[in-house]
Order: sequence, then C-alpha cells, then structure tokens
Amino acid sequence: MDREQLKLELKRMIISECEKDLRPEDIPDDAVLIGSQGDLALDSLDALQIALAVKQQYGKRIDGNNQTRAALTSINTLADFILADKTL
Amino acid sequence: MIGIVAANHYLQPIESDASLPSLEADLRELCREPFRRIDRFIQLALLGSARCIAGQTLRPECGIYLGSGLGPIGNNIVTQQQLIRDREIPKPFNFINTLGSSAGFYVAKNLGLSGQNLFISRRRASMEAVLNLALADLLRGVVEQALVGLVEEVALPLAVHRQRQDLPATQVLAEGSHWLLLQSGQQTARQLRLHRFDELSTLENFLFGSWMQGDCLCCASGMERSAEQRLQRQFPGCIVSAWDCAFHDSLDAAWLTEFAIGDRPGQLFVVNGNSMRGWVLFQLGA
Repeated sequence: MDREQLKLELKRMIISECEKDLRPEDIPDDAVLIGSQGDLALDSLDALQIALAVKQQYGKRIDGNNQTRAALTSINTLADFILADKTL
Repeated sequence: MIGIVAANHYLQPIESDASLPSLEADLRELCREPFRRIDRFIQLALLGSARCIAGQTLRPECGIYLGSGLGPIGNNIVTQQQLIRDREIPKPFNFINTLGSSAGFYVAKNLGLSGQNLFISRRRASMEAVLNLALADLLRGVVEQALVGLVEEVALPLAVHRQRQDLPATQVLAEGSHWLLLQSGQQTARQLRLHRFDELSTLENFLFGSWMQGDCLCCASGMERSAEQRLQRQFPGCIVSAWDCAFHDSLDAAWLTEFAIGDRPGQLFVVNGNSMRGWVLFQLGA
C-alpha cells in the first residue's frame, strides 16, 4: 500500500466510523480532524472511535501521550503515524 | 383525570432474516436534524416519538418516560461480542448506546425537551412500570405533560432472537415503538385509567361491572397463562392475547396506542400481572 492509497483508506474509515455525511474528496489531507474549530468538527468520542478503528485495522495504538495523540491532527499525520516503522 | 392528547406508533412484523426494514427515509423526514452515533433502538424511539407529536405543541418541560423489555438488544449483542468473543475494547459509539437512556437523550434533543427523562425496563411488564410512574407524576403535578414510549427491537437472526426470549419456533416477531402524549386535567376523547387488584376474582368483578357491548380485553405478554385462559372463558370471543400476535415484550403498548389513535367505539382494557405481584388493568375509553 502506498501513502496516497492509505490516505484514501483513512478518509473512508473516518467517514464510516464517525458517520459523517462526506465524500473522501471533501477531506483535504491537511484538514484539522478533531475539535469544534476543526474542519470536520469531530469530538473526543470520535477521536476514540478512530483510535480503536486504527488499532483494529492497522495494529497501531494511539494512546494518551502527546506524541501519539498528535497522530489524529490530520490525515497526513495519521498516515505518517501508521507508516512509521513500516516498509512500503 | 389523565387525557391522551396524541398517540402514534410504528409496528412492523419481522418475518425475514435477510435484513431489518430501513428506517432512515422516515427519520430524514421526521427528525429536525440528522443524528450520528445512533443505533436501531434509538432510530425506533425517534421514529415513534416524532410520529406521535407531529402537529402537537410540547411544553419544554414535558417529561419523557421510555420503557423497553429488551432495550437496545442489537447494540448490546455487538458490544458483548467485541468484549467477550473478540476480546477487544468495544467501540465507543456501541458502548454508550448500550444504555437504554441514550434513546431518551436523542428523543429529547429531537423534540426540544429539557424536562425529566427516564428509562425503565421491567421485561414483560415495562408498559405497566412506565405508565405507572408517568401517571403518578402527572397526578402529583411533578409534570403536566408526559411523553410515554415503549420501544422493542429485533436482533437478527430470528431463531436466536426467539431462543433468547424462550419463545416457540413458530412465534412471529415484531419491532415496535409506541408513544402516547399524556396531559393532566385534560378533557380529551380518550381517558386513561389504571386499576390495581390483588385478586383475579376482584378484577373479573370489576370487568363485569364496567363491560359494555363492543369492549375489548387484551392480555399482555407478562400475563400469567392460567389467568389468561380463565379470562378467555369469562369473556369468550372478546380477548386478544399477545401470543396470537406478531410479538414483542411491550405489545400492550401497541394496543393502547392503536386504540387511542382510532375512533373505535367502546373501551379497551389491557390486563397484565400474575398471582404473586397482583394484577394491573388499564382502562382506555371515552
């Protein structure tokens, strides 16, 4: 899987898990995901839902520390987090 | 005096394992906003309550009294499977909706209500429990309006859903969401009264004294079978049994709602109970 394919998958996953009425192309790669001021206006419950889906689908655990929590900033950071330590 | 200001419901026999009927088109039409994170139980609650209050003006402090025998069973199964079978942490959206009270939250949000919001489950006597509390609150002036709903969901496959409830393999199943808007001191076409009896013979005597041509008596699913058979002998041809209908735990709420909606003459009596805890009789008439 290449990085672009992964980002498309992540957008589809977020739309499905968070039940957002959006298409993948509506989500820019650098859109802010979490927070009422964010582009997607997702909240902490959405963040937890996404974190569990990432764990189940990609085996990567997003926990409470700042470094991994930053993975949920945008599609770009989430893709970087998943691809870290993986060989493309 | 408690008047039924409005009533409506959703009742659907479920006879196929293929899929449950989609409720989304109806919800898009009836709900103020599209809701995320809702399960089928919440969908059913939203659908029934929205149908009931269509065209009505509710007081913001109107109380919500929601009951169910099985509650959000489909979502509970998914969550239990995640936890026990898959040994995974349940997804948050599934986990929060295992609480039956989630449905009351969404109903309140959809209808703009901020009063008390209660969820009560007492298996096959849930309508009795919910109405008992709502009527008591109305009579004591705790609330002036009460939106009372009973919601029952089917979780596929049907054979497992029957087995879970210890139902015979031939029993037809149903989903339902049945709602009444009650108001104290309101003279309406339909008045609701609740009677309690310690002895079945006292209940029978009351029925003999109140019975008029065209009245109907329904035996709820929590009714002791021997008592139901005894009433069938006393009122031949006048009795509807939950077991003869497409079934869910709160079918008594479906009958009350259907009767309240219609203009059928006479009275509807709904009886539930057993010889241990006594008998409750709802009388719905003019």
